[in-house]
Amino acid sequence: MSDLILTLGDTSASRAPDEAQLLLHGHPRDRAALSALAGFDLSDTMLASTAGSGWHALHLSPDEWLLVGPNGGRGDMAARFAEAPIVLSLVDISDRSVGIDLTGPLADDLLAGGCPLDLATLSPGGCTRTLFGKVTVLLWRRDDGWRMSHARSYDAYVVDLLCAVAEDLASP
Amino acid sequence: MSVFRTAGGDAIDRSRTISFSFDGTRIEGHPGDTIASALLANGVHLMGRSFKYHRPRGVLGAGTEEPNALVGVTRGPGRFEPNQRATLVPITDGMVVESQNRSPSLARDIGAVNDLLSAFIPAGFYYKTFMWPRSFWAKVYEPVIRRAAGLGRPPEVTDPDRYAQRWAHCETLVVGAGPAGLAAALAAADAGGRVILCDEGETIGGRLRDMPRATIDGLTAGKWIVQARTRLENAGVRLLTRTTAYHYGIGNLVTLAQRCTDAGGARTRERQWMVRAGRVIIAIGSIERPIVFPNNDRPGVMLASAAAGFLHRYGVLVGRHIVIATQHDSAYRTAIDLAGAGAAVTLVDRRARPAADLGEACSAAGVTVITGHIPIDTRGRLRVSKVAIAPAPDAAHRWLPCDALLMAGGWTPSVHLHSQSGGKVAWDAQSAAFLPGTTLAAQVSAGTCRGRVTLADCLADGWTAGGGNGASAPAADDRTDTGMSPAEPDAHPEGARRKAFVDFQNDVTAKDIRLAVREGFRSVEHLKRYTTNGMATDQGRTSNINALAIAAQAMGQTIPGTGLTTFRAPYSPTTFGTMTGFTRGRLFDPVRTTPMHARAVAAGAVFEDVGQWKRARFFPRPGEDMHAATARECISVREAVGLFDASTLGKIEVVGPDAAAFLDLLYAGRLSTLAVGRCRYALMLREDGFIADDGVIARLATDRFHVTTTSGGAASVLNVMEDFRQTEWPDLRVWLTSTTEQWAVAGVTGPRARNVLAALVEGVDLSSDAFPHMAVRQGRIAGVPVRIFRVSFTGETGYEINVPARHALPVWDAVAAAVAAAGGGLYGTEAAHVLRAEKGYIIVGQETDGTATPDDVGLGKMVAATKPDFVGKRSLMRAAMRDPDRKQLVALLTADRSLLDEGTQVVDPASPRQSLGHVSSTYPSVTLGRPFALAMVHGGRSLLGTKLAVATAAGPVAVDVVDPVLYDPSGARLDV
Amino acid sequence: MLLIECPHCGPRAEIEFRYSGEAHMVRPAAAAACDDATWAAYLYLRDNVRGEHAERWRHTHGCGQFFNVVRDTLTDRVVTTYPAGHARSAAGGEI
Repeated sequence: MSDLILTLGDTSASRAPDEAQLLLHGHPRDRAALSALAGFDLSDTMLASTAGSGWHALHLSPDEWLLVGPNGGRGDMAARFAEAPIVLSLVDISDRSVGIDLTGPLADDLLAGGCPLDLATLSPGGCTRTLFGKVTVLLWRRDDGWRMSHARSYDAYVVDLLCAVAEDLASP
Repeated sequence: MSVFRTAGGDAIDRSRTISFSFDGTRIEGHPGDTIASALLANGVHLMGRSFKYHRPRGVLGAGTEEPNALVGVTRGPGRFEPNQRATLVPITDGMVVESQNRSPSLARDIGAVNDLLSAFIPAGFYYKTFMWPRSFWAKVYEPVIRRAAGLGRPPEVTDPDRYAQRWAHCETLVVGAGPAGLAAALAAADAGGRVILCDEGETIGGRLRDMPRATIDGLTAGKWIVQARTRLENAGVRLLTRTTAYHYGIGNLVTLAQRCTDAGGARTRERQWMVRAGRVIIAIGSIERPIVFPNNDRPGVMLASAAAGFLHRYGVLVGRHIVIATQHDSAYRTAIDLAGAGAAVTLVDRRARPAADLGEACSAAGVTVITGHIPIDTRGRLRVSKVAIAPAPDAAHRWLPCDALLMAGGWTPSVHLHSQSGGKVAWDAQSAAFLPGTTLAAQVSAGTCRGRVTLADCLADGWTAGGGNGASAPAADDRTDTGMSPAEPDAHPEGARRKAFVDFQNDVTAKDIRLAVREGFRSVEHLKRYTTNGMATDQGRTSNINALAIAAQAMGQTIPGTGLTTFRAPYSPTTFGTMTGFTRGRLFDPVRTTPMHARAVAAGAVFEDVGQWKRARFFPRPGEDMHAATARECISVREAVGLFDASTLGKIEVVGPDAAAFLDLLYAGRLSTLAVGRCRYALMLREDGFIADDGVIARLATDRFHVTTTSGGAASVLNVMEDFRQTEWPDLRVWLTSTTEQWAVAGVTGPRARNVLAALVEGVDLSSDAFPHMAVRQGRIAGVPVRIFRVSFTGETGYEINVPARHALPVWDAVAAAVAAAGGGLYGTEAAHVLRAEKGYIIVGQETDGTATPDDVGLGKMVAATKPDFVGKRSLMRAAMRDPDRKQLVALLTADRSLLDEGTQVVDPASPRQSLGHVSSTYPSVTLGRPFALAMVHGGRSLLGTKLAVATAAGPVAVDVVDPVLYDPSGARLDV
Repeated sequence: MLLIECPHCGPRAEIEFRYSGEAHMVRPAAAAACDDATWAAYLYLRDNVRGEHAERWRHTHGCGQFFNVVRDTLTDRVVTTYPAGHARSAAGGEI
């Protein structure tokens, strides 16, 4: 699998690197304790992300944070939550989805071919689940563009749709 | 070049000449011409035949309102489109245009006999005729009607062009780039925020393009349009021309159809924009109405606004001797413009005393004005040659020769989008028109579509709507009135035999409408459907108000008292391509594949669709059909070992201190007593007590369960679980995580399964004592950590190896190699179904149909009835749910060893018309050496050992009713 | 297409959501002990409101949360939204 999916002038879509993803559920009132376990502050603002020691935490639902970090750190991070004094759920979903990085001036337009969301509502660090065509995707605005991830069985569809949108954007 | 071409026209590129064919004749035009303008430039007015009477027709309008000039356009293989309005389609070099609804040719059309027979085909003709004799319907009437019905001919090959769609968001969407829309967009751009401006025309300007003598802010109209475009572009306004707002939906979602190119090929042909707007400014203008009088439909008879459009945009004179029939002021400007371009113009005004300055201006321009007269008839077979005018319909008339007759019957504000937004319309007596009334949507109308009349008013209205300060609005010095006035349908005397057309496309006459009223139709919605007025592809743009006025007059009512029909999307005919966008072919619906999909492809699998998943159904070897391949795969499992891709199974990780309590509530069985490391089969019921889903649940830790669901039920089971977790038992400390795609699953089953695993698995004692049936262990295969479930859906010893999806292939390859070495092979879903059915294992959705309880399918022991509560418990307590005569799962063996069909009815041979149940699954079985079936039969368990019959097309087939577990009833093979 | 204000994610297109029936249906507390009529009413009886209707939606392609929407069935307009478990006020809004 080539890392580069498509280019459109200075805009490109490429495979996101393999990363560890741990889905953390806990009660919002335990956010401070959860943050202490994670080793960095977890956002209390919905659809925002925070970062610390190489990990990011995406606040996707009132009781849900997606921890994204280096593959090698997965075991260590999971271990921090293993004997927690508070009630929580941590599930390794590193293999569940695949990611695509979209960068360049037309990145928003690539998404607008399938995404009903007003992308302007997300500032850098912002994140949400939404739709791309007929598939649920996770959008995460990063400093240099978007990371879009989706369940791996849908990958062919997502890539096909991205390419179709790119062809339209390339049409004069 | 062309005889009717003038020096003007802002739309065409005179430096180039291109050509197309129209019904085989080569026609020249300029880039920028429409089919209609190019034909008119060459003096061709005859462009179509009417739908019902096949009367010769030319253009009525110059834009989207055109009802007559519908043509089929071919731009190469696969690029044929019927029913295109000739007034909208730009010409391209070499395109082929054909007229419609005629045979053999436009000039000689045998269907025109309908015109002579018209006395016999009045309104409601279809409802009144073809009713008897009854036997004539299928053989005579329907085939004849079908041949005559419909417009144009459908395309026959797949459209090769690309279509696209895009979401957009803005604070302000302005629909229409005429004077009001441009002013609105300029003001909105000044105010800030994202602005989108769309217009269905080839370029911006709208009706302003037909007012070359108007000046705005000291600039001519043309220069002001150019300046406005520059200002809008500099302000970052997204300007979409050739883009029609065709649907105004709830939540201010306006759908636009953009015609990107007419050529297709590598470029996107059409693009659908789904625009979510903070507010919408509707500035879509108004449409001129015809005048209803006898024979008002000949080629050369058209709207005055159309003649103005052809003149100013394309430099085309629609005739040299032009008569204009009007009842208001705006036609005077057109008359002067046409005279200025060299035509001899006579203006016939219904009014006895129009404003004096209008008459003076006309005299100065050489236009003859006749006041106090109306048109009452025309002549000319394929083109109008003269018009009769008179002071009143029954007064003495005189004939005026002409080669074009223009009608200026007043303007109808376009309230379509306002109406679509949920807005009401209200009759405005002063402008004699329905205008936008109240609305709940964040939208406002501006300009002539809300009854503003002068250019200055339209500019100011748009500017204010866009948020501008009234004082700084663009100022026009042209006070020309568009002169809106009511329709005057009484020009057509009742009882006359000659047809006065109201709806040109559906051939509805004033007489038809009066007839419908006489026959008792009072509601406008009924009148519309009975007469078909306004139901053609132009949606009555030019006809609705005239029809309403005639109906109101016939009923002795006012127009507002009679009411207006509802406007529905699409505003304008829209292609399926636009609405489809990307959603075709591979993008029609996602195709989901498992991590091992490539291996199945390489093994020659034949796939089946299971929901969106592609699953390997069987793996044929050369010469094998499905039955042969499936039989071989079944033998492999029963006698050696088989490998199955079970990755599509739904998986949910249920975690938290209350996880067991939660599962006790969600499932019929008791999961809280499940030991860590063990699995249990469980049924999920709906609250009505019927089976919703099933699966194996494994306890990984005290507070952690791995739940499996059916492949098709994964999303719905998670939805139901989340529903109860969030809203019914929110105090339970438990969370759910979908892990369906986290784990790829390799199912290894058969008497040699354990041997296969023994060679692969590290860290797990595979002995039955250490790892019994219905247990779960974690170990490693090929260095990859795996979860292994010892479960069986085949009746043989089985393991389901769960591998993190990224590492699926190396593990799968290792297992496949070991399976092959053990004399086994891959098997698909077809073999899996046979193997489970031989054991009497149900498939939810196959044996169950939403009305089966656990007991019905022999799984009553899976219900922990002593639990105080669980989903479905209360419903199972109803007496009817324990009726011994409910349908119950049994197996059927045919006496003649024939294979039954799924879904066939089970009957008592003594009363074969009474259904006792149905066949739910049926397979040939190599293991049993005969076909067998599973069936749901009333009181089935009490009928074991008896004989029933199954109704087939060939007659009843005798069957023995037997226990559904046909293979290894003791279960000994689960532990081999 | 409706624009629905998810209480957690803000305004989103209707296609991100899934409709889940009438809101504020109360499951009988002692389900196993209630009579047939009570249970049947819970299972099957629903209002068919002309006007403002409280209904449940789930932000399926978003935060995944169930919540309540008051929607006018005459105009298809979303009047208000509020989290699951909150009561509906007389005015249709959240208390």
